[in-house]
Amino acid sequence: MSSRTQSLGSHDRGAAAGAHAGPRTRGLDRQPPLPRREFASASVACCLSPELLQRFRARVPTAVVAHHPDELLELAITQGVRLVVADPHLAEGRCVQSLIKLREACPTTLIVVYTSLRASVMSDVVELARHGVHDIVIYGTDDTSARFGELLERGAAAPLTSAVLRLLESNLGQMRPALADAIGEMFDSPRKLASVHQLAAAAGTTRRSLYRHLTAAGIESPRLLVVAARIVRAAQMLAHSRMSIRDIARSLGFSKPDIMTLQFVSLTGLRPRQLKDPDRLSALPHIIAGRLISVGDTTGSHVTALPQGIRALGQSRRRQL
Amino acid sequence: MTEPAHATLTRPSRFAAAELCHQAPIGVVVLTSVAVVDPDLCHSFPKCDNSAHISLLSEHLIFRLRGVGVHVGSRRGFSPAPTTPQALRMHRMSFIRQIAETPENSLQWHALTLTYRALALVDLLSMEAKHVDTSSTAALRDDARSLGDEDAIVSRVAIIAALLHTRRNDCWSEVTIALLELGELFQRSCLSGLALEVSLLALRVSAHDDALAWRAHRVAGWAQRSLGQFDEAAIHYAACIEMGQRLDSVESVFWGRNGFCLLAQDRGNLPRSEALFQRLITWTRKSNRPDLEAHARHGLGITLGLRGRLSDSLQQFEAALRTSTLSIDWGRILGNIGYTYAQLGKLEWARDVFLGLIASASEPYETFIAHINLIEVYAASGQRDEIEPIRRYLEVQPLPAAMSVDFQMTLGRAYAKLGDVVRARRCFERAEALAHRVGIGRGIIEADDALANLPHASRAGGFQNSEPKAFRPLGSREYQNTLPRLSRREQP
Repeated sequence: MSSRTQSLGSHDRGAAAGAHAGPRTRGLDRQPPLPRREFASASVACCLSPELLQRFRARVPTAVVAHHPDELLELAITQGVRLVVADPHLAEGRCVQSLIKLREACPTTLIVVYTSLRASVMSDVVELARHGVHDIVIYGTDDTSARFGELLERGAAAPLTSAVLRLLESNLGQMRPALADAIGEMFDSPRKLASVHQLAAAAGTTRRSLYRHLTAAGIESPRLLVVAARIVRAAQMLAHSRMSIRDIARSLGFSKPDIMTLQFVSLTGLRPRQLKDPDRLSALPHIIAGRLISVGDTTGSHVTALPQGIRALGQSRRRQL
Repeated sequence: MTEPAHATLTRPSRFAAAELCHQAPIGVVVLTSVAVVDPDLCHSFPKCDNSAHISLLSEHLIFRLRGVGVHVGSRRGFSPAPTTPQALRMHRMSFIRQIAETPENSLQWHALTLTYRALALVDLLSMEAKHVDTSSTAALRDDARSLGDEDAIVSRVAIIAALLHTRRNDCWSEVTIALLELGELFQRSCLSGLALEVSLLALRVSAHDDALAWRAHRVAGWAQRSLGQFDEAAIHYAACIEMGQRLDSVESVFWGRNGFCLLAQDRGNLPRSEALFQRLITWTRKSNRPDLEAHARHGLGITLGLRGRLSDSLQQFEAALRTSTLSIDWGRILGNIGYTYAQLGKLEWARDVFLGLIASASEPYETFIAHINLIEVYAASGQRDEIEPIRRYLEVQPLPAAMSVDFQMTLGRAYAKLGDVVRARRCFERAEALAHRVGIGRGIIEADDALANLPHASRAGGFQNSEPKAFRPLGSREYQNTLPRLSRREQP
């Protein structure tokens, strides 16, 4: 890391600002209070103008600050940063080139443009959008703690989410683009599209048509698809954060922790606590994709590369259902 | 190839090409000059003079455009797809672009930024209300109030902000209604991208309520039709019909069916559009809804006008005018009556209708189109002095891109007709540059054609010598119906 790079956080770079969850046990009382959404593997790096940086620091105090786009690029590649927040207008447009390079080098790193609305910024924003940068936060508009918290969470979950979507790629390819985009958005933000109705609306269609389109593309059930998006996020949070099952369930909109556990088991054949095991976590995308794709569907043949034991578990749960 | 491929095309082929480009889905890299898509087509197009060939090639080309990996490398012609806001997946891209293009700190700029903030907050709050502090909604509400209630958009934003600030769980249907009103305001200003973003958010917020969702589908269908995304628009209209049948709502079913009629019209399938409108009129009469019947008759009149059956068209417009109950519809119908008069050579009647419309129109869209039509009327009657004030007026108006292209083309034709070739050339060049910049395929081809034939331009175009199909309908999709369309079913 460059010498000019400084860490703003005292205990964990990966923590995001947000509501605080108290320590889980008395034994942990000595530790500083942790932000509600904290991910051990997630980290945030930013490269912003002083005005934006001040505001950003107030919301994400643990972000690592790079003072130059080249530093940001180096930092993001070498440190495995999950979320990069940058103002494309910095360094006379060189920031755009660094972000494009970063996008190519680390496709799963979530890049967020944080800028103010000026005509001069627009060409840079459009250029980044062409290279697959989808998220923009506007200064003084939607740069709230909740928004950054949601982005951080998404950045942390990106590897798991993209693994699931990659396994469903051939099915998504058979759908019209609006529907495939809506499914991608749902896995990115499971709170935003938390029901079949909302998924249908995001795809610009009705619930009945959604069932028809998904069946045609070899997806067994829209309901399972919606559940899967939330379960993937829950799995990520369980494996990489210190949040309790109760807090995760509440955060993801489950009415009770038991319901989340039940859906975990019915979809994956695993109990939430089993996801602490890295092997099981890495097999999760295969289990979920295998569960989502219809039995008669031949497009999801790549899912058969699943480890034998875990596949058997997933299949046995399916028969029980 | 040593010269641009489309330069070798025959006139009907060029229009077929324009039609194809128009139909190509956004998101695909569209051809820059027709024949470059495929070496086979490159050879085939110049040869095809008869319509059957064109029709066959149309299918072929559309099929290829929808396939994977179509790439075109020519410099001229259509913008690559990713430059369109809808093709770029960045959230609220249309708003960002519009805000950036608007003079900073103007009322319009404030209205747009406030709307952007409102949408961002609706998005956040609909997801996790408890984690958004009330200061954001309070700030939005205060900012909107500080601008007063003169601007319709700002006042809707103030309503949304006040509703969000209450944090009531039951406020979402009211928020949706305000969002739909915002969408309709953008629709009236021809800001299709913004209307689409707002309507899709309204649709998501009201996903569980069919009674509101169909309205969001209607606005979204209009916006996607305006943007040339016909397949997506058809899905929205189908949703309107499905929800209407579930709710037993005549209006919802009507707007869905009406959307399909307009889609057929936009795709250039005029016989189908006519048949669908006829069926719709019969259905509205059975449902005893004269207001909806008037709307359907107006649509049928436009289709008939596009087919060159001007007398039949006029009859439909007059029937629609008698039964219509909305002042907005009156303006549109009157505009089309004026245009039909002009097509029939009754220039004085047409002028009177347009002037009356300008004095009384409730929508900027109607006013702009009436002004553009007046340019043609004055050019046809040789009144150059009357054209200049209209030109000065329209040049400073915020016309949508497609309308700006048409304005420049109309002005160019008017100058050419009046013998001012230098100014005509300048107008055509401006039209071509603008069409090229925003990716309006028809505009590029038409401007190219006009520039190529400029020495003879005084003999073509305008009302007196115009072909009957050159009909500019009012109230139909933004301005892209102005060119003659090749209808496959019409061909032998």
